[in-house]
Amino acid sequence: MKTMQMLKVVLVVLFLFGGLVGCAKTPPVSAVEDQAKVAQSDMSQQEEAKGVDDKSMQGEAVPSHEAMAGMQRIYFDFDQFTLSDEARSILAENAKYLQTMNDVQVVIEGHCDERGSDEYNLALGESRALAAKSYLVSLGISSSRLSVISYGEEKPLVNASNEDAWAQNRRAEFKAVK
Amino acid sequence: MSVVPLRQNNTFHKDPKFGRLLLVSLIAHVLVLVVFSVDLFGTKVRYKPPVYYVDLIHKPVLNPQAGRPDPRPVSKPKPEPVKPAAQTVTPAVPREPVKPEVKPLVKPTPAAEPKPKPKPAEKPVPKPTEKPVAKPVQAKEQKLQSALDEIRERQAREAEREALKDKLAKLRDSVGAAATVPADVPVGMPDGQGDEVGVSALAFVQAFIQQNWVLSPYLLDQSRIADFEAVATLNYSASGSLTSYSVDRLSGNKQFDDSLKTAIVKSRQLAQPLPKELKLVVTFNLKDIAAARR
Amino acid sequence: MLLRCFMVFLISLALPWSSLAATQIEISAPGEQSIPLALTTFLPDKGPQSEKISGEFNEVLLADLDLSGLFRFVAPKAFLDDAERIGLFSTQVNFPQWRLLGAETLIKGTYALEGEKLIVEARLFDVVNRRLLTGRRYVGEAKDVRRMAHAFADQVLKELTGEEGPFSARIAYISNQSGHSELWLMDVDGHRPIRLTNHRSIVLNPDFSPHGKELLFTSYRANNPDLYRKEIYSGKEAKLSYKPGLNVAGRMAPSEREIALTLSKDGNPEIYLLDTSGRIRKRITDSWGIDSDPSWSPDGNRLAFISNRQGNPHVFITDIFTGRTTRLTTKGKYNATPAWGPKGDRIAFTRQEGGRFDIYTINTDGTDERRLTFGTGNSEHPRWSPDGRFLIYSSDKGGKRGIYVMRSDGTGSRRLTTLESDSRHPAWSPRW
Repeated sequence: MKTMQMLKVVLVVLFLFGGLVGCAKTPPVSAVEDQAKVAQSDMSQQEEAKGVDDKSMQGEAVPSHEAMAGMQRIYFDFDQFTLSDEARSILAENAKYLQTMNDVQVVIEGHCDERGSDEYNLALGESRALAAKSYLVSLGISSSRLSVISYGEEKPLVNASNEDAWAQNRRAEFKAVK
Repeated sequence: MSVVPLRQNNTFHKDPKFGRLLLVSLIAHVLVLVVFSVDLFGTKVRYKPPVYYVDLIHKPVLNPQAGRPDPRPVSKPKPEPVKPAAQTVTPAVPREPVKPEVKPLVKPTPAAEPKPKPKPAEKPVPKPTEKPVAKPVQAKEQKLQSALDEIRERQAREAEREALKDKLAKLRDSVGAAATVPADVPVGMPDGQGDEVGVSALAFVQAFIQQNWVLSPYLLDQSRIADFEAVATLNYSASGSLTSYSVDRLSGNKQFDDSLKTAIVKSRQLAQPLPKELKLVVTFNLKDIAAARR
Repeated sequence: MLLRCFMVFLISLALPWSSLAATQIEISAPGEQSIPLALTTFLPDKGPQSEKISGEFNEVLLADLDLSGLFRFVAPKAFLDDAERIGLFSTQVNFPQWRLLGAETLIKGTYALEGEKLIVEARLFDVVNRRLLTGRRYVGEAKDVRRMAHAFADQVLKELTGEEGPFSARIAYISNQSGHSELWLMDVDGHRPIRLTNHRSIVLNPDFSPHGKELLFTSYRANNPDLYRKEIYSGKEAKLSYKPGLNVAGRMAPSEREIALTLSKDGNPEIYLLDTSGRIRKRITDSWGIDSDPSWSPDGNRLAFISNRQGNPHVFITDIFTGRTTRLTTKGKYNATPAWGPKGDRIAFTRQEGGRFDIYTINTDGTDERRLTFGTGNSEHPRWSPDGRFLIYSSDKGGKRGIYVMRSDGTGSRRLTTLESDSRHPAWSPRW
């Protein structure tokens, strides 16, 4: 009953001040909100992460491809696989480069930050790689030269848990196949 | 003040917006009233877990009197005669003589030494003596001095005795309080309306059986927890032993039903005799657990 | 008329006092919600005394029974001389002595160690009704003592609840202990870990076949996330689905005739059904967004999955025959990893809120959502025990990621793996 009464009071107050409050905007994406929080407590985690990193570096015998000097990474927003303007311009540069290297096959790797479920992130990474691929195709690169692979959150570029690291890990990379 | 608003009112009445404002204000007020008086969301009927009042020390009775935690006035006459005695005597020599009483015991002869300490006793005596003593013969002075010493000693001893008495009274008080209060507190039930001293026999039996009922909710289908219910009839003799019982309705769940049977077996003999034989129809369910989960 | 009224009044007055009338009372909760259990240390029957055997058996049994949440353990220090006596027949047990200690159930047992051969006799007694509830005799080798204890814990739960415990099952998980993400198998209490794969690549997301003989998992061994199947006993391994793009989140149907998985061969992650040879039977989802992570209903008619078709990732349920799809979760901005409970009534999932993942359960109709994990760190990837009593999940609440288990109401959580390596993606095997 107490909560009921509280609710009523709140309702009345809301009703009375509704005109004023109604216009306030709700903040947009949740990802932005917790940036500050997480960034604080990260020095220690970063150090710990290094220990793990060493191990996974040994494991980097995972059949990977050579990064191509002329092709730059593109980055994505949290839980997004749409291409930003910046990403588009980088892709345009990459496309130019690819047109000069006609015989090179390219693997586009999609990656995610560590937040999010592993399974969903595999799919998200795939969607990121595919988005990059289709844009390159639209710029005239033959789709037969391009293949995609998603690593989800399995291969972070920066092994840390802060907004900076996450931003760098949400990426698509372009690698040459021999 | 009362004149001015009248004029203003008149001018406001001419304002065409005034009527509308008044209406809006009226509607707002009515709305507030409505929100508070009418139940917009429908009151949720929440299950309120029952509260059991049980006293396993006192006799279970059928018509318990109302119970209160404060002691009955009957216990007061005892400490009263002691306290006034301590209070009437001590004010003359309040507390201060308690300290010198320790010293005279260690050094009994130098009676002059307690002088600085028993101030209330010293002041009235030395003032009259000081002047006459200075002029007459020394023998008189000595006599007087010894008399004075005697008086002081007696006073100190008396004070000592009074302090001891006081202590004793206090001790007796505290002991009395500890020993007598529980017996004097009226026993009964918070909502008792009868005249018998004791706790409700029903609540007593109920608590007794409940204490013996052991059932882990993890034994059961968690989502159906509110549905389990069984009914048993128990016949208790006046001596508190279970003469016969029957299970009238079972829940159908083996774990639930088994736990009840075990609880009944464990409740074969109550811890206290009953005022008379009792036939109980006991409904077992898990409403409290279900309510706590909600 | 007046007289009759008066009579009725009199009778109504008299009724409550008549000794024949039964009085109604209601008892709406048990006085104690955990069963007082006396768990004695097993005694050597014949052969040498071995504190290692009796200690290990006792420790495993205690941990399992404690996890069940059913029991309150009577302090062993209070045990009287019956705990030192071997008698295992109900006529030999001094029940009043155990009653005195407040025990309602009692576990006694003996062991006989002859060389490496071990025989364990375990009994569960009802102290109040003075009877044997269940007894088991386990014959094996000394190294099997943990298995025997788990098996008896299962048996105790079966006797008391009607449903066998899940403690003899195993847990598959992914660990980077060897330097790579590989597939591992361990006991339900985290002991006896064994590595099953040596792909030296990335292995992910294992799932047991309903009979527990096979594991499905995804591996990057061939430079693409392909779906593999592996027979646990023979170790035989085969690629099941290796289409371009994702071949992930494979889950075998309860019938074992179909496999639900996520493929991105057509440029968007969608859920498909494969037959057991890897051929596509049916496409389940068709939306612009990501559809992934299917989980079968126990009857095999429906799939819970995750989709961002309405913006944020949410859990949806689809009927594989009619195609009717409904959204299950409505709250939060990021819901993932659905796991349909073995009883069919509840679905566990994770939700990200405030930058952290926690585990929730919800009814399949979207009602009665409950949050199970709280506090620091991310708790992710919940999976049910085969009896639905427990959830296993991964969490980094200790700073590093390990595998944890808790009751399905969120209580009793405990860590199973050491924090020396990163462990995740647990899956509880069916009973075997």
